[in-house]
Amino acid sequence: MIVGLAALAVSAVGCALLVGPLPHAALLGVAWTLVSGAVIAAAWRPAAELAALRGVGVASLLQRLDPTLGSATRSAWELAVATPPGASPALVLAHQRSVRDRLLHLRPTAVVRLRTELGRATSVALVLLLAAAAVAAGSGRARAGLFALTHPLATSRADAPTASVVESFDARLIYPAYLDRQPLRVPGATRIDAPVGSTLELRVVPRIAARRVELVIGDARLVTTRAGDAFTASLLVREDAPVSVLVTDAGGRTIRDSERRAIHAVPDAAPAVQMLSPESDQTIDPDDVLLLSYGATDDVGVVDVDLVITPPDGRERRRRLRSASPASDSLFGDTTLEARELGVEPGDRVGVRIEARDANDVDGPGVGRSETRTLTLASESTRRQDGIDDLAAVRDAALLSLADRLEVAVPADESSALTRFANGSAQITGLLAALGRLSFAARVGETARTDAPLYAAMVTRLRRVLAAERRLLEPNVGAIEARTTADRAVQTELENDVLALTDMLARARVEDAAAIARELEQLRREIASLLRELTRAPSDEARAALLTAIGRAEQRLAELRARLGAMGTSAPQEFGNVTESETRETQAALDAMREGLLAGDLDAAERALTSLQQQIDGIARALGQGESSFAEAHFGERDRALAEAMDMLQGLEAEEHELATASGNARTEAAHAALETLGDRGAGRAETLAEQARSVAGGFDAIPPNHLGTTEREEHARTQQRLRDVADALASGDLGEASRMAEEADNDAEALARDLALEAMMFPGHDGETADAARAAQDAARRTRDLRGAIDRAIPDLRDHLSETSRRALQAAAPRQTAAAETTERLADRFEHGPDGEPLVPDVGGDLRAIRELMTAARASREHEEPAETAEAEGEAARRLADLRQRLEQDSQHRRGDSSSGGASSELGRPVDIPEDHEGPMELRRRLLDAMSEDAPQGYDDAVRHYYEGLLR
Amino acid sequence: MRPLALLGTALFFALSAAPAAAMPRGDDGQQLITAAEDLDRLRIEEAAAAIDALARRYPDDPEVRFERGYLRLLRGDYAGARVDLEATLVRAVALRHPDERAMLARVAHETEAVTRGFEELRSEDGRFLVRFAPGPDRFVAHDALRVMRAVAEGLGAELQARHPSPIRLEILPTATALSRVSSLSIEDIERTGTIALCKWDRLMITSPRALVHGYPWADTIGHEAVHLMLSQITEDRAPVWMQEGYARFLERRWRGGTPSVRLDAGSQGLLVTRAATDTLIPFDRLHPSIAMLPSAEDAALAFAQVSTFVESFYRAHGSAGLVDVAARVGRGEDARQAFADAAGEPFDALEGHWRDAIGNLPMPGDDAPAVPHLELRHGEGEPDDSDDVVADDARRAVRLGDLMWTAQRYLAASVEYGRAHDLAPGDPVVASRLARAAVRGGDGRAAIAALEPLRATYGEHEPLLANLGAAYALVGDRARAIETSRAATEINPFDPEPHCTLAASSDADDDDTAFQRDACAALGGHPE
Repeated sequence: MIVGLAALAVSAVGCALLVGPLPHAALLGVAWTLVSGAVIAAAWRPAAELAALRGVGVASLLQRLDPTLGSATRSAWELAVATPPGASPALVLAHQRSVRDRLLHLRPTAVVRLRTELGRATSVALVLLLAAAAVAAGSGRARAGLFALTHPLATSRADAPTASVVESFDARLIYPAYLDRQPLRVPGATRIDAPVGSTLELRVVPRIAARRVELVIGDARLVTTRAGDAFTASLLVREDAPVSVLVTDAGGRTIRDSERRAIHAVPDAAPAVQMLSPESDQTIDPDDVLLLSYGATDDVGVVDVDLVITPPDGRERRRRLRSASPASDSLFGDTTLEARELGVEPGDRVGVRIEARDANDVDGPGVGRSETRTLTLASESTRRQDGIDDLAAVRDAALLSLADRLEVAVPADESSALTRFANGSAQITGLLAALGRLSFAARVGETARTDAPLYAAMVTRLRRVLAAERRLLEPNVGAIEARTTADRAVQTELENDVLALTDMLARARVEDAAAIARELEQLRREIASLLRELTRAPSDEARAALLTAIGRAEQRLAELRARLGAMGTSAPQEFGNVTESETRETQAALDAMREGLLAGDLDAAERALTSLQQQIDGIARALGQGESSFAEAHFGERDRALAEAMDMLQGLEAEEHELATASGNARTEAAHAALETLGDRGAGRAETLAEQARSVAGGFDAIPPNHLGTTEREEHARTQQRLRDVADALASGDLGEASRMAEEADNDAEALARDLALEAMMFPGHDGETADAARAAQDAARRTRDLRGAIDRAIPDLRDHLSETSRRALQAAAPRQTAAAETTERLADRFEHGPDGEPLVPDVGGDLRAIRELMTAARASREHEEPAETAEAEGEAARRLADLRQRLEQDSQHRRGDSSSGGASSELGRPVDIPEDHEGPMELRRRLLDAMSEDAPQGYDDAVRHYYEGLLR
Repeated sequence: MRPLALLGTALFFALSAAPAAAMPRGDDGQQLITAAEDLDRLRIEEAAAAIDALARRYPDDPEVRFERGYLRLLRGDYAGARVDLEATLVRAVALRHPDERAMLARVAHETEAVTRGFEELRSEDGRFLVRFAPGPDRFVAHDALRVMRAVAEGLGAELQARHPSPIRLEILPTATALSRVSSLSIEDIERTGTIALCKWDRLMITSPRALVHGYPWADTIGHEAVHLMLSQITEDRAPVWMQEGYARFLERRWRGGTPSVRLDAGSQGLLVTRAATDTLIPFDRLHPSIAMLPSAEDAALAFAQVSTFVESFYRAHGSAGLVDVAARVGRGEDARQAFADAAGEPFDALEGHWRDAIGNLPMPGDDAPAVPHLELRHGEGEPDDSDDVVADDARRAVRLGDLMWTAQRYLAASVEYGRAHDLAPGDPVVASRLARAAVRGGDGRAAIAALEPLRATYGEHEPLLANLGAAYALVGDRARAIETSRAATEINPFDPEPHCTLAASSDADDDDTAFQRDACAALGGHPE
């Protein structure tokens, strides 16, 4: 074998030297004939010797070792192949066995002496093999010839032959300046790794007489320049590319070099940036100063490090933290960030991250970013969440303490009993401390009237039962029966506490969600106000403020969703389902508003605002409704018809609201213009209006202040103050000032009425007090609106002071008002004739026809260009539509909540229908009733009873 | 405009118009009339031959097309049925009343919409076909084939009849879907618990996942199959009370053995009480459907009445008597008269025997459970049945146990469940919770001790059966583990536990074991 290989190698290398890189096909044939002949000649003799060993011939090997063994083996073989007639089979078998035994004891190396057999020939063959390899490695012509021998088809192609025609291919790598590195030589390069932006100087020496050398880099061709025997070229590295060398020989034939080469463009890695502190998202107080630590590293070098702040409006702000010149491999440092500097409001979330740039000026700079930390400015919401987390932790501690006692029975032996008590009392001591903290927090918080005594009562009871248990273990361990009784008492107390804390947790979560919903409503109002401002005086600032408010609303919505998700099983499932659907719609309304704003379509934004109001109403209802199922199967024909009618009503409300807003703006604009020309001549007309303003202000006294939260109290006070300002302005004959004050009073009164209406939906209060307050607020708001209209009407000749734009707008929208009136008529018909011919809801048709009359009047006023009458009629129509929708929705809740009645009795007879009472989550109520049946500790009876009554309400 | 509104508008205009009638003349016309009558009598094979032939000769004749549409509806080709019925609704005026035409067109339209995208499972011999919505209902469909085979065999032996192939079952994903493909409203379904139908030559059941605690869907298939076969035997002439009596009496026949009525304790109490006060519901009041009765109690009483009447008749006259009555009704005899003639005594006498039998039933105790009420599921959340625990103290302990269980303190949970069980030993929810904890703790015997005494009373409480099956598996009683777990899957096939028990308890390496293993894993269970 080795001899054959040596013959092959020597003959092949010899022929390769003979034929060279580009042999003629005939020469290749001759060469292969020579190689074949040499191999056959070299292998002939060993093959013949091996052939002689076939069959019994192998005995000759044994003959040399032991002549008797060779002979015996031969006879055994012959007897096995052909046993002579008459031979004893037993003797033949015995002979074969004897030979086999002897052979088994022979070592193969003793029979075949490789060293002797192969020694000389092998040595010679090995030497020749090595010599051939050395020639092949050292001689370019030999390698080229070998390629030609082994690739005859490629080499002999007439059109574009491939052959080993390059003697050497060297590269010099010149790095981009920003890397600041010495050039690098790469001899015999087949793969060149080069940073993007590097320059490559290539030098090619062909093996044949070449007229021209071209380099194919990817899809591009690069012509080289001759420099003696070599050809050179240079290129800028931009991307990965294969490299081919095309050599044109003296005869004009172009040959592709057989070697595969490639350039790998190494991109510059962006700096690695880390925010070392804070390590996680943080909630910060307005006065906090936050320490930010960072680190940035880069192979090229870091040039700049920035702090990037993303406020709710999404517009990033940057602060340069460090600059390095020259660039530094690593930059570490810290900085401070004041919460005030963020320019955000409580509850807002701000993203902060560190960005670093490197010195790559070729295809960079590379920019590295740290992970973003979210900073939430502490607010009532975060504080509530902290409170919920604390409460959950205490409940879990009580639960685990109870579980430990339940799982380990009271032991009989003293040592185990003491150990068990020590563990249990340590847990309860921790629990007592946590309860104490909750109690303290409750005393200083708004829940002081309810929660604090409850926690205190828990502490007292736990201490009492724990002390009783301790007396049975210290100083002496008491009887097992007594200890078991004492342990049971502790268990019972822990059970009561776990259940009470679980109920409180459920209540806290529902209240928290309700509070977020109220914040959402406040934001909606802010958005409405900003949108009005933007409509009146478009500016980038107003637009930015509006986007910020929308961003805030989205954050509150996300919070609400997260809180609802965290409720888990502590609230009825339907509650979660309904609220999820409402929050989804709310998000859609916010999206629509942002889109409208960004597209400059303020009408679309206005429509989305109306939808937003309806969705927030829906959330409030869902939160207040608790267990009642919105998603119940109302898929009967009547229900479908009612749902479609409600859809239509909502659309109509949005349309009328939009018309009313436009006409109201026109009226105000005309009023301002009229007042400017009127001067102090209007004084005489103001006397009676001043009296009316005082009367309206007095109407707000009917709203009981103890049902107002902080925001509502402020709105209440502001409205009354504005109304007093109206009266004062009227008394002094200043109709202009009175008009402005009346507008503000109107807005504040509207806000107050809406806040209380939402509150009433969620928490109607004991005996419906909140609902009463809401009704009073709505009444007062209506009277304020009337006052505002009266003041505007008192300003004469508004029509004459209409701008041309407003005049055209009034006229142009008249057909819309006509269409709205017609739609109202159709809607009335729908309500009056359900699918079965019976009214969908009694009396609604009449209400709608009254609204249609208002619309008809508004249309006439528009045609006569009367802004005051138009605004008044359209405003009233919009208000009545909103009232009607709310009443219908609440009525629908009532009907669903009273499934046993089976009827469809309507409570629409009342002018304003805010629920007097509502069904809380039944499960929660039942559990609370269970808990109420437990005895309260002495001295806390009233506090506990009030607490549970509060929960039930 | 919504599809329903479109359909309604189409129907309005279609039916208010009165274009000229069309009808094949002569013998062909007579053939069509006969075929229409055959369809009404569910002689579908006979009708099909005639209608197919007529449709080839009169491809555009509205009357022929309408009947072909009806035939397609009965054969399960809802798309074809919808096209034919809607296309000829206006013009096919000769054979059917407008109300009937409108109803059939609506049913075809809705059924096609509801079943669009359904998957199919067919038995190897092609005799049984189950259609179901993609998703977890495949776990019902797989078992439904097994049940349908047994049902056909059992009823065939009992009623001496064989329904032509294929027998079709549709599993509707929600009660709303059932309402859409039938004349029942959601209110009817919720009020009376009617969650399955046999109509238009097919069985329709609501998926057990549409109900909070599942329901005995396998016996319901048995029930509806009785309707199917009785409709065929009597050519749809059997009155509702007879249909329901046969169906309720024979619905468990597929399980083997002599048929008998199995009344829940609530229904039995109601029957005995109302019989004693002579306030039973007259049989004729059950028309047109038990589902239209005013309350769940009335529906339960009606079922109890008619099924015990048929049982009373069966005890005296056997299967032959039932077969005879059905045949007589099929020949047009009044149902009461048919019972009387088959028995050889006046119907009043039969009624008297039945009332005597009711009088022999034991009066239920004060603690007897109420009539079970099927509760439809709303939303996707897991229902919490701890609310169903009646005793306050026990409910409190169960709640504490659940809190412990959620906190993964299983031993502590079992202590609380044990206390609840001591307070309410007869409550199936409490016993199931205790058993679950005991099984978790490896104490199968304690679980069996808690559950087995309640099985007779609460045999359709799925958690009870599931936990009992797991407990039997734990103590090595494979036969009972399989039997009990199988019973659990025949109520709520979406609980992974019984599937896991069945997979772990089976020695065989067959398709069913592979299915149970798949169901266990797919539903979130933990196979052994």
